[in-house]
Amino acid sequence: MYLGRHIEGRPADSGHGGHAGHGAGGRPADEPGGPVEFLVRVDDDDLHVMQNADGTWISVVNHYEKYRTPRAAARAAVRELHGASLVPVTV
Amino acid sequence: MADRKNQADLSATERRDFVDAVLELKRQGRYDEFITTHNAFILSDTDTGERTGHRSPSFLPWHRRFLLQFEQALQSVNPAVTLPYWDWTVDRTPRSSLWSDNFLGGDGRSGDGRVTTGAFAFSGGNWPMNIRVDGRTFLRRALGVGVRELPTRADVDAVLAIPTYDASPWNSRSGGFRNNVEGWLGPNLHNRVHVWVGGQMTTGASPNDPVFWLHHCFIDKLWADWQRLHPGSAYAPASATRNVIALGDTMKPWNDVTPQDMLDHTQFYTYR
Repeated sequence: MYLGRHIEGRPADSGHGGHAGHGAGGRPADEPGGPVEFLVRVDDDDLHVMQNADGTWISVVNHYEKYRTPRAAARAAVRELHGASLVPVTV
Repeated sequence: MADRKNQADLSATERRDFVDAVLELKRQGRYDEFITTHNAFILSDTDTGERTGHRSPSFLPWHRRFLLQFEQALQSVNPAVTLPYWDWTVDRTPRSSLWSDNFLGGDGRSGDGRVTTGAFAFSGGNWPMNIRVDGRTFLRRALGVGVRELPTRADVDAVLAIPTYDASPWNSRSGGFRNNVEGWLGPNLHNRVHVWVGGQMTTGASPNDPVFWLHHCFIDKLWADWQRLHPGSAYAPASATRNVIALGDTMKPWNDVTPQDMLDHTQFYTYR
């Protein structure tokens, strides 16, 4: 829980040839297999996060600022949301 | 030849014409198409995968084309309108004329960050937040909250002095002008301004705030300024490079324009 909201995160099921199972926080993205895909949810809504080549993370809510871990990005999103719910991203 | 001007130099009529053209594009549904397009690249450009609009050499020509397309859309409403630019090294406070009620409207209020003045305030009913990352349907800003200071002229000059355009690994870890102007490294120019404005400008759906265009217009101008300072320094990479747009490669979503095509802005407009 963070500021009254439930946040959770876990590595995505692997599509990257056996790299599943790495721990939370990711690993440098220029290793073979590409960046760790990581799933973050805030109150059961998906927060789209992406890892940078230097190992830091950004989210769709804070897209121009780097965070050390997916958890830090999730917490920053919670602060930014002020209680609002995430909605599915429009592509 | 269309002139792009500093927003501080616009007449009251030019300000009104710009705002009215933007509102008309919103009314027609065309404005939101630009947000959707930008979103697609925000979500898919990655440091180790295909990257076109961001964190890659084509950040600058892609946004140049994107802004040109938006400017042409504005001109289909009013042929006299051009994109103004926001020089945030000079106009760097919430009291700048940029944020006045007859132009972009003001800062967000405390509490929910809602913009309550100007044409884009939710209460006016003319700026619904249709493409969004969260449930809030009103335009928000929090000027100077996410980061205290906008980049300075000295920050800009330090980046303009970088002699190479871009370099391997052609992503957010690269040295060179492009990555330093984008802001993943160095004093942080482009990214920092998004954070300074706050609200939708910090999100992947940043074009929801019309200041997006004025900010990127200045970034585009900085590219033109850099080219004048380094006439022998070419766009890189010159030849085919995995996941990255080389000089002669076409860029999605248009598939008919290359960085080469976008090198000379004076074909389309000049900066005043």
